[in-house]
Amino acid sequence: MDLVKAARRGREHALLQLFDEHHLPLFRFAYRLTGSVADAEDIVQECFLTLLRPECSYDPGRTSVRTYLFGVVRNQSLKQRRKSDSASQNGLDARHERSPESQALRTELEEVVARAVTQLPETQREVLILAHFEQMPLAEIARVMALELGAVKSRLQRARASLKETLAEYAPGLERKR
Amino acid sequence: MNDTELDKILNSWSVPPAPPSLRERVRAGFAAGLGQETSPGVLRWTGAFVPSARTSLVAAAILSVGAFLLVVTLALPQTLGLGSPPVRIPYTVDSEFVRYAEDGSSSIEMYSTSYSLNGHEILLSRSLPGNLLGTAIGRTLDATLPYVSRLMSRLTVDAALLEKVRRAAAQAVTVITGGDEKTGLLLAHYGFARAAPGAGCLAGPIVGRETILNYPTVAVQRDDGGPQSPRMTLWTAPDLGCFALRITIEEKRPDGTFRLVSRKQALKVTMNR
Repeated sequence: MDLVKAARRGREHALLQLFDEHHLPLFRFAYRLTGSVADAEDIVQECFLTLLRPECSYDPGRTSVRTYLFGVVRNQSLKQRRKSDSASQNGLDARHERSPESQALRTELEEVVARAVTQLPETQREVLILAHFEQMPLAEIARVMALELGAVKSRLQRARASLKETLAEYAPGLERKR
Repeated sequence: MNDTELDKILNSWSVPPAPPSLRERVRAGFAAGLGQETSPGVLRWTGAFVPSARTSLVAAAILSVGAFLLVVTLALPQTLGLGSPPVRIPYTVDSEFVRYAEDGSSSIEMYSTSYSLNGHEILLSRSLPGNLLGTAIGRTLDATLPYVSRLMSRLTVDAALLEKVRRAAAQAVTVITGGDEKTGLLLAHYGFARAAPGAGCLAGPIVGRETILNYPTVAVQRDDGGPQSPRMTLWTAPDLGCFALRITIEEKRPDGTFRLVSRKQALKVTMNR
């Protein structure tokens, strides 16, 4: 039986199987969008529970469960972002503030990359994360984001061009500017 | 910078591992959710007579050790219905429920008369001061919703899950904590794991002992472990079948301090000899 259908009928093992198969990339995606483990955890939990709701629009005939779940993570992250933005005038900065411990765990370069990606326009950031970090085919990204394939390609190109510029001084082999 | 160099730099951005608790949260949410909108990270204290919410939270209690949770009426009686067999009520407790606003001001939300049967608080009557219509509606809901709830639960909740819920609830101590925040019309009930035999009424850290209305009580503090979880402190009287003579509910502020949100206080104990 289809796992989603089984989970909706109350079969816990079906939901847990779905979770085991998909949660890692979803968590990575959510974390990279929000910059927070706690937010990513909330989003991924909500993402799986969304599948069980009667109003859930998942249609196996139209899309794979993986694509659907990535779409849910994206939407939940946007919601989270709006909440954070309205809660704080410095929304973006406040959201990406890290505890001293987590900052210490990161290398400087990692911090710079995270910041550079975070500063990309939203849709460029989402496309880049899915394409580069999740190695998701562009056609699937288009479905997750409800965009034309061409739009996905151009956003990815713009994101990469922008990052090349921002991160130029960190290119391997180049002397770092002080 | 070429594409390969960019890829190499991007790859330095690692992601912390997903917390192991995530799977358990999804699992608890599954038992709890079944179509419910959840508020990630925080369990909302919903009205106890909303069938799905109640079912979900007690179902989650089965899975979440140490959490305090709302109790289902399908599992336990919370009012004496018309069809209930005659019960000898050993005592009654009159209580007031006070709600505290952000600015520290307080208002009496409700008065109740209740007692405890096998560790489960049973409401006999209640009134909302200065709100005759609300009192009438509240009493009507108290009398009818448990039946609707049980019926709905039978139709919508898996029988095995219901049985688990019943078993878990039967082993708990349940208390009434007041009305819902918005209208006060829907009662909120919570269930807690019992302490080991001889160790008082409720499992959990003991934060004090006090005599209230001449009955010794043990104060136990509970929260559901979340970063923004509210905290509940209950003063239960072993001599009154674990009736909670005082309950305080505090919400956690972002700076980690707590704000008192509501308080239940026993005003009078009447023994029926």
